[in-house]
Amino acid sequence: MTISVPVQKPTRSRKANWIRGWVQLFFFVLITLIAVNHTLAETGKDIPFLSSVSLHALCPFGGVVTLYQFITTGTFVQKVHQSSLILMIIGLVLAIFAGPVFCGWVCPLGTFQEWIAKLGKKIFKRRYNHFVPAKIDRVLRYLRYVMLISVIYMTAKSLTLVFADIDPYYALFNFWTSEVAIGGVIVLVVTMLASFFIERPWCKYACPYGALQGLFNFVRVAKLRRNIPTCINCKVCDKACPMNIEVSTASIVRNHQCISCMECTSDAHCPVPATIDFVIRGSK
Amino acid sequence: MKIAPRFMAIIVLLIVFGGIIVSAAFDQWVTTTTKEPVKFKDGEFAGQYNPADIRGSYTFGDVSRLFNIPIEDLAGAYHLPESDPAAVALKTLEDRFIEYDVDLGTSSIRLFTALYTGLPFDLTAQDSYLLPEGAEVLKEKANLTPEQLEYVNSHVAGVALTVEPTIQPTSDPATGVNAASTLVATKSAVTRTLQGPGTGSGIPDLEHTPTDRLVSGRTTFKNLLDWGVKPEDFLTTTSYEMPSANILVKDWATAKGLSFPTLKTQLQILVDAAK
Repeated sequence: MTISVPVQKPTRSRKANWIRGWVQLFFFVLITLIAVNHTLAETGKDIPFLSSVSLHALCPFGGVVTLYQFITTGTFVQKVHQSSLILMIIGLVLAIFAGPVFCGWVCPLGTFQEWIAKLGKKIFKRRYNHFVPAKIDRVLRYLRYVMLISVIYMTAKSLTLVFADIDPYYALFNFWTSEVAIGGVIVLVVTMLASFFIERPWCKYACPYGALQGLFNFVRVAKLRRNIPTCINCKVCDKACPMNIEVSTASIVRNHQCISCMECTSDAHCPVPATIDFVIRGSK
Repeated sequence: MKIAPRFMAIIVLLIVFGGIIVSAAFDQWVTTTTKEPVKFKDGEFAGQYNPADIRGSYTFGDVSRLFNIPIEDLAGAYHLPESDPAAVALKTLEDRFIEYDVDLGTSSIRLFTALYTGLPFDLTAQDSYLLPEGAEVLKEKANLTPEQLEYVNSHVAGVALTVEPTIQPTSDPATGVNAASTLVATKSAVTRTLQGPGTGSGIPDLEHTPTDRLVSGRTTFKNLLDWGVKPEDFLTTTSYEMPSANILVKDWATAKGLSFPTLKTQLQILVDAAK
């Protein structure tokens, strides 16, 4: 028996998850303004009513790396503030709810890579995001866990923010200041160049915070489900996924690389209604 | 229940900003450092602040307050401006002393503070340096052990310094002192401070030129040859052939991945031996 399903023609609003784009733009602009205001504040010319805190205070990963020191001594790693710990908890709540939502919706570095990806897609068309051989790619994807463990270990041992020396996020929003480590600038430039060929290369292969967030894909409350009876196997979801996950072969996406961007869902790229959706556990 | 993108957007904004607002309401949203270093937990110094935890966001006033060091001593040791030296942030030091080719940032303050107060400090943890004036303050006011004194003597920054003299031209009608004479007097004081060394005070000459036989970030291999360093001695010391004469030693060391402070010390020994 063949099931007949209504296939929707993608419209402009369905073609891309436009609301995510706006949320990403909002956070990118907000962080940029705060970073600029931080510089202005040092000369006493800060913009009123806008925060001028250091970006270290607005990084949830700072909360992760300082956790050991916080538990053992009650203090924070140098440059890290209590707000980082709060943001870590906020990121944790989001991750328990729906996985790495922070990566897919909030992280300005991820947004920046996606913008470069738009250019890459125009240049390389269908070849874009498929340059790295699958076997190598599969292994490289675990590098970020090596990075996560290394950074946490080295920070706990040295009591300094070792990641700041290679942090592309900090470099992106502070490249005009003398506070940026040359290592961070190099990693940022490499990430930018790689983004012309690979979507979100930093997120895929190196981001330690993404690695931690990705683990929550195994336990998140809201799950990304594919309704197998209605799926027409068009593989549009696979092509839409910035992280190259084969959504078309899973009933529930538990891949540690999923960033909960919802690009594969029926609200975005999937042409069949109610076929790929984020649903709360137990619901249909 | 299905979660639509709009619902997800609301959830994201609600949790992020709601979390910040709630934490702020309970005074937990803290975006600045408490300006209080960790304390030693045990031993003779238990309960005292650990100078190793001094941070770049502190001001000299914070260091003075936390470690009971007179601000005048800190101001003298780091060429702080006469007007409100306590307000100077430690993180500005690196830019102030950018002409030096060694670390004169927050780690220098940690070293100075530890030696001044006699608090425990791992001298091997970081290669930190002091200004000549800082070294003099320590020799005069701190109870340095022979090892510490040796460390201080071998960690005095001694290359060219471009410091704008802190001149505050004032003319006081009440005293009749005119602006010009105040300017001259202040500038003289600064000049004396900066050039103290070659004048018998034991502090190296800060108006450094390649002729003073002092290996620094501006020294070229030609300088080394002029000062009598033989290429074969260079090879023995570094395991590298001496490169082209006009290259800066510091650039060469960086390209080779060598520690310039270490190399500098080795080369200074060769230079001194070639006298």
